[in-house]
Amino acid sequence: MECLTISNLCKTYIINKRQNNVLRNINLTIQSGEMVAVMGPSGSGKTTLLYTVSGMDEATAGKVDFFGKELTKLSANEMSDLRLQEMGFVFQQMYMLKNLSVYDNIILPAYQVAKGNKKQSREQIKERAKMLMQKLGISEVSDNAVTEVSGGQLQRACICRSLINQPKIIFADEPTGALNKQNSIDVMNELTRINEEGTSILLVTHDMKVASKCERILYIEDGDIRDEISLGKCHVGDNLPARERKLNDWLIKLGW
Amino acid sequence: MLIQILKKDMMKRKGVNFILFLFITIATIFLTSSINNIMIVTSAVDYYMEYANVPDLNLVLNTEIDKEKIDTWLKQQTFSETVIDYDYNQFYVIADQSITVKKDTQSSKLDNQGTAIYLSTLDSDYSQVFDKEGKPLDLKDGEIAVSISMMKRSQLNIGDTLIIRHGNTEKEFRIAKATKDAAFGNEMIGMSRFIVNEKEFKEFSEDSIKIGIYYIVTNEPIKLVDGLNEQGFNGIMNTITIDMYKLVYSFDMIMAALLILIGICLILIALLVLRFTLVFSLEEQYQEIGILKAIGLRNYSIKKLYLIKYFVIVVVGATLGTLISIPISQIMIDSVSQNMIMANSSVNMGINILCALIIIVLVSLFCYFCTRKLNKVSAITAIRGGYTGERFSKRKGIHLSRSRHLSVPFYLGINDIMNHLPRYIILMITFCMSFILITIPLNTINTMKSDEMAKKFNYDPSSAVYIHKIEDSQNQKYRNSKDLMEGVARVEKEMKEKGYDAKISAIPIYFINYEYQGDTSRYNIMSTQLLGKENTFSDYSAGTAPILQNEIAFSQGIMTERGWTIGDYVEATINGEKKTMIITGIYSDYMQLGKSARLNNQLDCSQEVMFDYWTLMVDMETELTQREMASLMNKEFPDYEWNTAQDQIDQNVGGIQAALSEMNIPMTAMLCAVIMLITLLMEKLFITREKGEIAMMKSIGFTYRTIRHWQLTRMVLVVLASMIISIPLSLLSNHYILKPIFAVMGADVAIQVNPLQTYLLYPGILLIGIMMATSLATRGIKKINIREMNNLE
Repeated sequence: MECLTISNLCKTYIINKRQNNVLRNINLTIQSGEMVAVMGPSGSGKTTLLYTVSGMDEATAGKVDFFGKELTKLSANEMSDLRLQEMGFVFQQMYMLKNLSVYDNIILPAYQVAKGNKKQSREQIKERAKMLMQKLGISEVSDNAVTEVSGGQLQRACICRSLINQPKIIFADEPTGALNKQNSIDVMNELTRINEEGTSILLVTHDMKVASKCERILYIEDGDIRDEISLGKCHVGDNLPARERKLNDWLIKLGW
Repeated sequence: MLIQILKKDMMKRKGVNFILFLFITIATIFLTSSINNIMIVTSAVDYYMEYANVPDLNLVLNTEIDKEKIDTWLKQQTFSETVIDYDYNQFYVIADQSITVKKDTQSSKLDNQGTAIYLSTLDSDYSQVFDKEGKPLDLKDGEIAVSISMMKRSQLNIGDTLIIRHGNTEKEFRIAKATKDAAFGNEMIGMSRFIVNEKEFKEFSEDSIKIGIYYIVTNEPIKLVDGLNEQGFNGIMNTITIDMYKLVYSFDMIMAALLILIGICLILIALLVLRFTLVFSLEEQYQEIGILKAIGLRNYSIKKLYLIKYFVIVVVGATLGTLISIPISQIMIDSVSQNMIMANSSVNMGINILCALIIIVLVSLFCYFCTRKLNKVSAITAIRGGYTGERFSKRKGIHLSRSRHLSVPFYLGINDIMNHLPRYIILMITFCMSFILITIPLNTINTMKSDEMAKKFNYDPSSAVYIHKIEDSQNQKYRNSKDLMEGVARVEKEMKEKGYDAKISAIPIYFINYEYQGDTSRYNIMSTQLLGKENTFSDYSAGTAPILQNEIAFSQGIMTERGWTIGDYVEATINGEKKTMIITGIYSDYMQLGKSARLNNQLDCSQEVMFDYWTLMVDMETELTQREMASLMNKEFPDYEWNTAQDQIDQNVGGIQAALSEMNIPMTAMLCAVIMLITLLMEKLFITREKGEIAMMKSIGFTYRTIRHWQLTRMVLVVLASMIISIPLSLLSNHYILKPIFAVMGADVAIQVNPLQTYLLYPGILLIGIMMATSLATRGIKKINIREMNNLE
């Protein structure tokens, strides 16, 4: 089933009367349960692509369908509801509300969704948050302030938050960019496990090790998808060096 | 480079800078013009008193029985140099019904609004009267001069005709001049004199009622008054010192004083806002400060970058404020100069400039004080953006996970307040100040409208209606209580003939000499007697009302001043006889500035010369309100002036209530505008500070409405907390500000508060203004791009 269908997507910025075409006629389809990485040099349009297809930024032209819903036709409020309920976000910096504890930050989006929604009680949300924190190994820091935990723990908390509303897709922008090696491995293992459970993931990365865990890798340059490679589904414990080598060869060919 | 930084900084937060600039400008206007006004009026009153040759002491007599004795005594005082000079003058007492105003072809009674009218001439060197330009009066036959304040109050114009009947004489005069009368020209005095030339003054019959006034020049007025009291001369009605006249003029400065209060509040608010924006700027540019420190800039050099901006705002704001204050000061001075003669009625620019300089220095020093925080930050801490762990103390907020029913916006609002309490306390102080400011005029008006206030002025609040004076057009002023009660009986009869079964009670006013038990000193004390009904409406702070003929009650003022107690005896000279009386009660009211006596109603004072009588109280069965009753009676009996208790109180306090009521809406509007500006400014700063968090919330799917709801909820919570905190603070302000003001009139009064109006309605209006301002400021949230998440610390 198609999760995300992008057709002729363009994004143009006009800065000082100069037109800058960041995305040029992007066509892309992401299947439900797929884990896709977007790579490319700095300024190639990776992050813009992520922001535009997730509805955080408006497309200049083109169409984005999310499970049959045309995002470009949704109002700002409808788009916000969709992001809150059906999409999850993980960023390079661990953006959280610093006045709230780790636990409160995680449950915040779910409480907002639960407003007037009888299906999900606050007790159920708390149970789910606890379960997610346990899975990601941050239960012991749940009551800490966001300034009192490590970067890795915080990024895992961000992943918990992105999962709290059981999204259909997670958008991750350099999710390991601010983490050390071990924390990066841990975070990617978690994302892989989440993907195994059926959640689609579209992530942007510079890191080959991160990208090698994805099923498909797109290479974007000057706002256009220049090429893509399929590495097949990755499972926790798979032979990663082989996937990394294949990816490396492909990237070298592209002039990475 | 400095100019470039300044220019960039000014443009970056132009909204906030503009609001700060506005506060400084308005505060400067209010403060400089009001201080200028107060200083000029203060010196002008002295000049005016000297110009008009108002003596140090005025001794008012209602009978000339002891005039010879007083003359002899005063002559003796000149030998001991207690009295430097004195003169004696006579005024005719004109009954209200005795003056008719003719405008074109229409005639009407003079609407004197409770002011006692006297006819006088220019035959003394003291307490002189001048025309509008300050020149001596020259009145021809058939001409009369009336004070400017009386002309305004009674809507008289130059050229109008006044027909004055007095004794057996009736004369017609044309109003030729509007006068400036230093001694009797101010409406607060409650007396006004109409001036005619000496020849025509003498033509009024000799048997008419008159009062005598001694103008006494002395260096020791208090000692002289004490001496006069001890002599116990008959007929001394009142003694007025020059300080009392000056005090009356100081009421002209009430508005200026109120503007100073508002100006000070605005400066305080501006300082609070300045502190907030300055600290905010410092925190926002922590890393830049670190870099500047790291490359070797001294603390002062860095501070200079911040201080210069605020210095420029303050200097420009204060300069503009001073320039605007000059014409405003001139308008204020012109309004004062209408009622008095001033040596120089132009603005003293020096005062305005000095005030502006003080504001500049004060605000600049305060800004410097606020930048002290910068000294404590090391270069490396600042570069790290403060992330040393030290900046983060334990979380103070509440847990969302532990709340069962709080909505997300509501939770975020409460949590913010609890986490950054000092920041919101500043806002609460500002809101509380506004709420308290708004309660002051409201509580003043409510107190003035209260039954207790009516009782303090000796009016029974349960009476159906009140009559100001009842002399008919054939009568002169009543000389004693017998005449008065005959007049009362006449009015009762007139009312009965028209089907109104009313009981009218009267309060004659006497000035009686008292001697304390075993003491030779005598005291001339204003004494009242309630005739026509039992004294049940008056309150007594100790003891009881005088029930028997030989019982008397004194006001708290007299009892404290003389050291008398309940059960003591005094000897009163009434009807020329000495009567021993026992003090049975103490009360507190506004009669004679809180210094009076109450006689029992059975005591025969019919032969005692009555100074005047208090407004008559009419008791009758009616469903109508006092206002409706007064209106009905004014139609039924147009010869008399029918009033409500409120009208009577208003006449006694010189229309302050009306002025306050008129001021209420503009003041609320002004406060609302100020508070909206503050809210707009603070909310804009909050949003700037929370840009990153807002962007992050947007990114994970929080709608614009939810984020706005959070901001609005937070502000409403701050306002509601301020409303609650301001209740006890307002009670304190009642006690320490309003009570002493009311006490100036001679008695303590319980400040009346209408809780719904004072704590709900008016703060509610401000709350709506605050919500509107917050809504306006939160429109900026829409413009925050999700990419601004990078601003998150």
